[in-house]
Amino acid sequence: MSVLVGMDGAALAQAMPMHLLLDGQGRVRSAGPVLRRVLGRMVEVGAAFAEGFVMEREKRVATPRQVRASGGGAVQLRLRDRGEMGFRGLLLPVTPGQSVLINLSFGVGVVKAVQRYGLTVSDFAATDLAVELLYLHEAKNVLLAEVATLISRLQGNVVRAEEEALTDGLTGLRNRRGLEAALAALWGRAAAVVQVDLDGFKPVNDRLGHAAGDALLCAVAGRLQDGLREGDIVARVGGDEFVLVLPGMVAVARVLARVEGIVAALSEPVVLEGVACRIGASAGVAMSGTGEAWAEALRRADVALYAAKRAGRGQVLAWVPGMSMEGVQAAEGGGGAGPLASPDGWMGEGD
Amino acid sequence: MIRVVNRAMHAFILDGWGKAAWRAAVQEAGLGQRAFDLMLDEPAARTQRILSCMAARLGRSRECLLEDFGTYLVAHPSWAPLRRLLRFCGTDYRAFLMSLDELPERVSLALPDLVLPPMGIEVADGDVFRLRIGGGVPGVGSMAIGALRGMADDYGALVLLEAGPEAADGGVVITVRLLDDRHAEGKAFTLVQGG
Repeated sequence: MSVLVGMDGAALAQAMPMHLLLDGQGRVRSAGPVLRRVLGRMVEVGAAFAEGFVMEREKRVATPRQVRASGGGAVQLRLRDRGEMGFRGLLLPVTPGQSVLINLSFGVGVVKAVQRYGLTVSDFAATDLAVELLYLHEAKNVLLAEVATLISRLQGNVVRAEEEALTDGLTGLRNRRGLEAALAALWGRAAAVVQVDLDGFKPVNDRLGHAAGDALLCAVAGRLQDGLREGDIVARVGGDEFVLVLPGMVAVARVLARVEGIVAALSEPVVLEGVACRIGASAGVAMSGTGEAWAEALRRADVALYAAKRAGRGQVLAWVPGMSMEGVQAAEGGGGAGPLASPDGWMGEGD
Repeated sequence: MIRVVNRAMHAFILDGWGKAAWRAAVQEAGLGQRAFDLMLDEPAARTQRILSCMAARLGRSRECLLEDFGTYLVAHPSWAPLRRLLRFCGTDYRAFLMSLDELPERVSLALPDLVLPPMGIEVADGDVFRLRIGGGVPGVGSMAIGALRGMADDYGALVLLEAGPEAADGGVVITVRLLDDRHAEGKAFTLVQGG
């Protein structure tokens, strides 16, 4: 049953570079080379084990006698003077006499220990997988960094795609969806809502072609943006239909004055392929109070726009109670429903 | 494996010859303009086509370009982490060579879906080693020679490398003559970075 294994100091050092051999009084008889380098005087021959180490969890094996009685086993150790340094250890009763062999490892703290003490491959037993653990630790960090890079690139793509989805490709203004998003962000604020419709755009488009029409729309977009202030919103919501939202504007007269200025700017000729094209614009204005639904303001502005159209080119009208769309379609000669007057409504009340 | 190789190939061409060269090679290979992303599994044939086009553009053989690719992977600053991971294999070049038979398993510990061809290493005669690499990855012999040369520089060893003819299964035997284990200083390596 009993098997004797003889090992000289060199063999012991090679097999267990972090061992401690204690005599019956718990004093160090020998210590592995790595432990000597890391702990110095604490493990020199004759040093008392209990002065340097604290046995955690397990109290009953505090002395060599108790170790022998218990038959040994796995323990967790801590240094008295460096509380954060932990060791995993295996206690074994060995010959001669009351000796105890403790084989230590850095356990899961190996990464920190290697960093702190500058350990190398030769400091670990040939069978120890600590180096593989370090390899995996590093490989994991490399891969995590790789994934983080990939995620940030994908996030960039998402942001770009979202921006594109909210933008009118031709003019660079917001599109309907962009307008909805901007209005959602404005929720709770009072604002003036303006529907703008170009006068005489279709003939230009028909006469000079779509490319010229596109150029004209881009020129209009530029002039609309020139007329805006910080925080204002402008969107192209149909072929030649635009919406302005002017947050914080509550006085109708001032809104009308600003919109008339914008409409005047739109009426300046645009030179296309050497030909001066003169178009104009009509606008309907509605005031939206704090916390009111944007859909209702947009509808009222639309009603006002049709009233303006009916009143002739280049008109700007504000919505007033009693104004209605009735007869508008007849007056326009069946020119189709208004840009935002589709019966299903394109903005839910929830916005 | 292919997505990692694709990404590495992409980086190799970008780092070596710039974006324009990559675009031109992709175009010549008749492929759409699209980055070879880590998460994208492009068929291996596409990588091979890009490589062929790149070699033709540079007026070099595929083998030569693949060797450079192998060296690039272990020596270029963009891939410093890979070089570090390889240095975990052994303390000197001899130990590194002797550990190559466990490289596929070591790699799959970190990247389970990166399957390297099987490798076997034997000492033929003192300082002469024979590395057998299984088939399955076109051009693996050339890449391995480039990488082994790069790692020899890293360890400061002087070696002569020679690839035998490709076997029917695509496998190859590389003969490594270790002329001097401590020819030069070699690059520093610590078990933990900054340790």
